[in-house]
Amino acid sequence: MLFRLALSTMIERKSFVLALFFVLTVPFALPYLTPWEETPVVIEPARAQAAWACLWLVTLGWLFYQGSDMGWRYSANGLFQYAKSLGVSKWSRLCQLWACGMIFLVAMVAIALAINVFFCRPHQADEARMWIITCFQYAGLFLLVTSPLLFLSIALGSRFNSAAAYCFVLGISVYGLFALPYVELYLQHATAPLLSLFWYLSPHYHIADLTSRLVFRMGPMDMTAMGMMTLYFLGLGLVTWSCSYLMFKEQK
Amino acid sequence: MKTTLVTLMAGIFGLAIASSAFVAMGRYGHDHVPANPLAIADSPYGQMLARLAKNRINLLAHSGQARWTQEERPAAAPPKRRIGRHQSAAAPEQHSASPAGELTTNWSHDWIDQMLNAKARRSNPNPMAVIHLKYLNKEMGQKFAAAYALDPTDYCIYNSYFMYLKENQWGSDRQKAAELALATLKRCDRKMEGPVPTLTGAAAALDLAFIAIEDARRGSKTAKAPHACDVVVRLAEKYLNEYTALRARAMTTGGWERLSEERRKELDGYADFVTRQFQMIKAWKDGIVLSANGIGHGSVTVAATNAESAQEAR
Repeated sequence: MLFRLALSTMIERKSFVLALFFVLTVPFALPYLTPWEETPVVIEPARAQAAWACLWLVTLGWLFYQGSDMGWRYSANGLFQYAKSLGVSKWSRLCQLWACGMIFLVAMVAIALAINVFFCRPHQADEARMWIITCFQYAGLFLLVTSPLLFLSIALGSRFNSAAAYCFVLGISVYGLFALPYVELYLQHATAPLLSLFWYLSPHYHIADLTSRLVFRMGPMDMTAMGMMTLYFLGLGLVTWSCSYLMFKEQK
Repeated sequence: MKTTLVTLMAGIFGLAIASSAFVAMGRYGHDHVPANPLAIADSPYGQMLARLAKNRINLLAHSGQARWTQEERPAAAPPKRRIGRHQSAAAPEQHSASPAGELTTNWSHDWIDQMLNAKARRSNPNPMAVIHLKYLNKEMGQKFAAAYALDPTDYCIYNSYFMYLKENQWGSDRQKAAELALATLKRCDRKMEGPVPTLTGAAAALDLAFIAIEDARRGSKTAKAPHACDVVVRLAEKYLNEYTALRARAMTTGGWERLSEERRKELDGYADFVTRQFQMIKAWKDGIVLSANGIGHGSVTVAATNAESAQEAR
């Protein structure tokens, strides 16, 4: 019931059209801003890079906000309470909203994958095979990172308001994706035991950013490393899901 | 209550899995990989951002007065400092002799441009404090490093950064400049896609040769000329040939026409400049070999002086 309501509301609000349009068109337009005239071979890697960068940007900028907004609205309007009165469990209520967000997330990942596989694939057969494997590895890691964060944004939205919840999720994503490598760089030149501990405990989402493997055609990750990364993000996902459940509040 | 307990247990289990995977990843190898979010540095978008960074560096190099043309600058303003092979770190198309310069002149009639020039004009008759200039110089070094990281194959940024390190009035560092030239040479050798990396590679090779010549002239104990010169000069020759081949190929495939006329002129002008430097170095090197065979010394001195004056002219 909540799933269908959330989905129809999102479709009715139509903001997803802009998000999908962005993910679909920017990768084709952005490479023409680069100095491609001098080296036309850069167009394809630049397109792949733009596709993944757009995906991160839209997920962080649009989808997480939708998640926190849904959580806040359903809690403020008493819809969670109403679903509870119908006997829908706490997990189910959260998961239904999450599943609605996941539809858009999976659709966007599928678009990015399609652009990568059909419009950026190298011509040589062995290179193309490596490219496709890397793309699927990237998509898998991307989903492992973003899907628990979407869950968190809904749960935090239900407890606080949409803007506060979104800022927290955006902050943690940006910190894990972009800031942590610089913290590591700082730690290499300084002795700070507390900061070191904080660094170890931080969510290392930047590991899931395989863009450079595609842009510089480095080939796929080897399976051992990929397995360890998957385990790490599964563990991190469980922690996030667990915290989200504890943070979930059905009524304002 | 039961669900909450199970959820908590799941969270603790997740923490254990994540920790063990993190430790295992540490054992897998802990080589430091430089931070490069979304692979921007050294990518086509990095090239674009590096070109945009030139304006900011230019502004710093000229103490906020980068928009001024030669005629507009009052006598009270501090003189322009040469920081690169081109007069500034900015794209060479901004020089007054180029058609882009004419464009600037035309544009200067435009109201917005006049206002921007007025905004950038220094009205304070007192020169800037030395400490302030040093600060701007340091700031410029950081911007150079950042722009170089975004695109190490751009000859304009490489040359300016090289000269910044080698001929800086606030403290030059020849060793660092030589390391930069070597790193650029290696980088361009690894990826020679398009005309720009070939020209940058040739410039870096010649810079190394110039450093070797200078060391030899100064009688440095670590001087490696002329034999070490051989390798880099051959590399420079290879890159220049590569540029000529790429240019010829681009002309047949229509790729050359895709570039703007400005860009074509700039590339060819720079290629000519590097070729002349190459010929000077080659003459100097051949002169040494001739003198070793007992044939005259004069030509060596002339060629070496030419080579040094070319370096100074940058």
